[in-house]
Parts: sequence; C-alpha cells; structure tokens
Amino acid sequence: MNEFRLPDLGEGIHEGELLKWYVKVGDEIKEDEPLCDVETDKAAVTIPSPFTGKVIALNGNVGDTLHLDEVIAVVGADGDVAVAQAAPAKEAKVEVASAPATVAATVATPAIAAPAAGGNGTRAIAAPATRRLAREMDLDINVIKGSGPAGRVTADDVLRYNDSPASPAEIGTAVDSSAEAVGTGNIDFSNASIPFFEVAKLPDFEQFGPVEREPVRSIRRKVAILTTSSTIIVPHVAHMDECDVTDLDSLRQKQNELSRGSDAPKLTLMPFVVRAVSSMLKKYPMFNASLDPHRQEIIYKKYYNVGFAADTPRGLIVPVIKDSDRKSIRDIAAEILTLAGKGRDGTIDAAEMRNGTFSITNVGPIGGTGMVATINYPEVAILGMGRVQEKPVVRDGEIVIRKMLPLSLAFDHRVADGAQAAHFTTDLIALLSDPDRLLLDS
Amino acid sequence: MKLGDDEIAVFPYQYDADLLEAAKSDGETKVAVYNFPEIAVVLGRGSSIQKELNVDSILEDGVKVYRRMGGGCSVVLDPGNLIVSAVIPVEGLLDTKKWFNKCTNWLIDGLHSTGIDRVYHDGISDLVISDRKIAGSAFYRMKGYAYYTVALLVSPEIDLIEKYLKHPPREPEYRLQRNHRDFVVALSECYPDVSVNTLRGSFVKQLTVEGLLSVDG
Repeated sequence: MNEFRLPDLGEGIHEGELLKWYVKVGDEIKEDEPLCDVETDKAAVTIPSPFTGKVIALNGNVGDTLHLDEVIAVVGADGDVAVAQAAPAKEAKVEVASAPATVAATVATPAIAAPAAGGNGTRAIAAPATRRLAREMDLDINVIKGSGPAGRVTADDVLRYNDSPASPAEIGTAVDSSAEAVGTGNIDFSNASIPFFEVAKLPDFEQFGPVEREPVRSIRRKVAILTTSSTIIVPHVAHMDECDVTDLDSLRQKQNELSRGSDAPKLTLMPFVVRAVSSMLKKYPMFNASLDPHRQEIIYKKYYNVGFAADTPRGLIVPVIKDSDRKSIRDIAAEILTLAGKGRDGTIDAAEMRNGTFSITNVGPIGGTGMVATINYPEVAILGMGRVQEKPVVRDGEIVIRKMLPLSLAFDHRVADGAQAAHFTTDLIALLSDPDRLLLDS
Repeated sequence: MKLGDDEIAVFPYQYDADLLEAAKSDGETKVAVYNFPEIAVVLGRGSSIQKELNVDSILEDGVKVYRRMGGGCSVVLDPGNLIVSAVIPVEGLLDTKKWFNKCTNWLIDGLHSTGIDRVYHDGISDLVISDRKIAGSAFYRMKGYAYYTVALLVSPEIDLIEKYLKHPPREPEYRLQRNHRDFVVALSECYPDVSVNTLRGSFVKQLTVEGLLSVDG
C-alpha cells in the first residue's frame, strides 16, 4: 500500500480545507490524475495522486481540515486487499465501500492488540483527528489495532486502548458502556476516568428560533482543542494585581517622540512587559516549566521564549519571541511588529509560533478591567493584561492620578503555588513601575 | 452545467478554463484583461450556495451563477467590473503563497503606474483604498500551473452585492463586520477619471508577462 501525505503547498501553509475528492474508495487512479481539491485561505489547489493503483482509503470528508504531512489517502499496489472486504466502520469520517456501520459490529471487533501486533514498522491508517487524539494521549497509534475498514484505527480504538492497554477482558465492558451511551444520545466519557464527566446532548435549538451552523475549522479548531485540553488537564488559579505604569508610559511616549521619522519601531507596552517577564521567569523558574504527568516530573526550561496572543483575520495565534531574555526592548518591539504583521497577512511560519515557554495576552487595546486567560498548554502560566486606565491612588498619603495596568497571572497549580504567583507578580510590578531599573535589568 | 444544492444552475466559469487551455497549449504565461459582460454571481471553488448566496433574489432576477477555479468566497460581477487573469506555468505544486503574492504585487504595481496610487494590500489578497475594498482576487494551483484572477470594482452596482450575497462566512480583520455597501467602494468613486475602458486600455500596456514574472513574491 502507498500512503499519500498532504504535501507542502508553500511557505507557511500547513493545513487546508478539503473541498472535493475526485475519486472514491475502490476506484482506480493513475499517477498525476486529480485526487482532491484543498483550499488554503483564498487559494484552491488540486492535488494529483503520486501513485497508480486502487484507492484503499480516503481520510476526511469535504469541509474537514487536512494537515501537512498527514496521510490523506492510501492507494494500493497490485494485490492489495480491497476495503470492501474489511470490517464495518463506526467512524463516519471515513469514506469506505463497506456496509453501514453498527455499534454491535464494532463491539464484536477486538480493538486492542498486544503491542507487538502493530509494532512491525507499519504505519496505522487513521483520520487526522484520531492521530491527534492519540498524540494528545501520548499513545503510539501504530501499536493500536484498528477496528475500522482496512484496519483503520478509530477514536474509539484509541480511547479503549488508553483505558485498558493490556487487558482484553476489560475491553468488552468499555465498549458496551460506549454503545449504551450512543443509544441514549449522550457521549459518555466515563472511560476517560473522570467521574461525573458527561457531555449532554444539545437541545434542538431550531425549535426555539432560527439558527445558523458553522463548522469549527482551522485556527478555531486548534484553539478549541488547545483550550479544552488545557482547562480539563490543568488546575488553573489566577492571581490579580494592578501595576502603576505612569513612569513607564511617559518613557515610552518620550522615546516614540524622539524616534519619530526614524526606522525605530514604535514602542507599545508589550515589549517592556515581555522583557520584564523574561527576567521574572529566571527568578521564578516554576513559571517557565512544563509538567510531564506520565513521568510525574516538572521540566524546568533554561531557555526563555515568550509568546504573545495576536488576533488575526484567521483567528487567535500566539507568535513567540525566542530568547526574549537576551534581546533588547527595541529588538523585541521590532520582532513583535514583524510577527504580528505576518500573522495578519497569513505569512507567519508555524515555527514562529512553536516552543513558547510562557505567554502574554493583552486585551487592553480593546478594553477590560481584568481577565483570566487559559494557559497555553503545555506551558504552565500566562499573563493577562487589561486596559491601562487613569485611576486615583494613594501615594505618600495623598490621592494622585496614576496610570494603572490590570494584570492577572493564571498558573498551573500542580507546578506552582499562590504565594509564588504573588511574589512573581509583585516583583514584575516593581520592575514595570520603575523604568530605570527595567532598562538596567535589560 | 450542474444543479447546485438549491437547484440553482451552476455553470463553469469558462474564461478560466479557456485561459488555462491557452497556457497549456504552448507552455507560456498568459494574461487576460476583459470587461465582464453581464450581471452574474461567481462562486469560489469551495463556496456553499446556502451559506453565501441570497438564493431567492438570484432566482427571482434570473441571475446566472458560475463557479470559478480559484478559492475564496462568492462575488457579484457586472459590466462595471474589470477582470484581470493570469495563468503561469510553474513546476510542481509548491510556492502557492509566493505566487499569489507575486500576482497581487504585480497588480498593485500596475494600478500605481496608471496613477491609482492609493491602493494597498490588506486581508489575504484584497486591494484596498482607505480600508475599503476595491478588488478581490482568487488563486488556483494545480500541478504545473498557477492561476490568478482579480475583479476590480471600477464602477459596479454595489447594491447588487448586498442583494445577491449574504455576509461572507469568513472575513478579513479590517472588514470589521461591515456590510457589503460599507465595505466595498467603486474605484471610480476614489478616482473619478477612471472607467472600465480607460483602465483596460492602460492595463493592456502596463500588465506585462515580464512584469509578472519579475515582481517580488
């Protein structure tokens, strides 16, 4: 069998929406004949088959997001078995030539094999979403025996494997439970070992009034996956405070006046905060870490890559300032401008959004007195910035008007405690409130 | 012709196919500049009729619906639109974004050279004057070829856009949820001396194949 992976379509293009299949399972296809259409932003691409043979499997339905380097089709060489003879499928995403699926048939199919069964060097056939699920559960999908057509690994197979990797006796129980849940219309996640966790079936909203449905795709889907994982896995705690940025803002405005007409990047508050946070991360390494739940270890990172959330036409992205502890505030400002511009244009490379160790999100330009951000998993903390506002505060026994920046540090309570968060925030505020010290520190 | 998901007849956008065939016939880059002769709706390659079109208005007015090769959302074309298309022989499937950017820059350079110098690029591939769209483009890539097409809103009936198209399912950040009427602007409103015919005349001289191949992507 020949696996065909979504090829690289160009700089920074890592996924596309499937518009059309030109073939169906069981068809013969020749090399260079059209296989499918994929749309990336406004560009549509017809992808030809690199192989000649019978189409064994097609991964994805029209409207699905396909990702770079994921198997999108399997084309058989002479002698490969046709999918029509495979077991019935439960997973609707896969286009197969087999009979309609039934839960009972799935139950009857052993989902789990001994690790050696899939460990013969072959790559499992699975939909992108299923591969992602396995990755998120830190499982090697290639050792899971698939119950779908042509041995396709389904999401259920992954969940069952994770639940009971070495005990076939327990599989039946798990699948029966799943079948019952399907029958009642609820998705039962009891096998994921989270007691009382159940996602109820949605009501029929159409009966209450007109609605419009929109598939969750592309960046929206990534944000959904990431935030769901983060909020389920990570016990979030948030520490909040306010920072007096009056002097910092004066310095910033003065520098912008002085550099007007030059090539120097305009200074916003963000580069100062990125720089100050980088210093704090060295002092408080528990906020520049990740937690490995399987090894039960905290991984302290000795590099400092601070990401910043950016709103783009395609949705939320988090570009990363690499080695932010070693860069000047002006360099960080220039890099923020460049990365944000690339994000807006859609030319940002995935590498420029990877390997962050801490994130900052700033809703200040839009408004808001405070926010509790979701941690950008597998990082362990995120700083939220609200809108700077002039407020009456007491200084030396007198009420004065100062520019106050609301800050909130959301952190993973498995890795850090409230006292550490309070110290981190207090020290950060001290640094941002005293620009001379911040500049010396930089 | 095939029936769409609302029993609307959807025709292939033949201009695309003809230009592609011409390029395939001799392996050379082709550029076409033409007035659009009728009122029509053109779907993107992956556009949903349900999500993007006001089907009742289209059926009532008997407006023809086409589907183009390139991606993006649906547009309304009329004789106030000037269309520029290009097919470029390009090896393999790579560099989609690079060629899309090259084509966009080539067109902006062309507009600037005719004195339409306030145009800039925003969103994915829109041409914009003062935050309002004056042209939308689409791109199609197949093995061996890149196809680019742009519709310039020189003097279009903007009310028709509002009439035939729903708010698009995705939009660039700078649109800010504006309706069609507030989002797009006729080029002739910004440059009163410009008409479809004068611009076509200028473009025929300015938009050269050499220029397209040499512009930065």
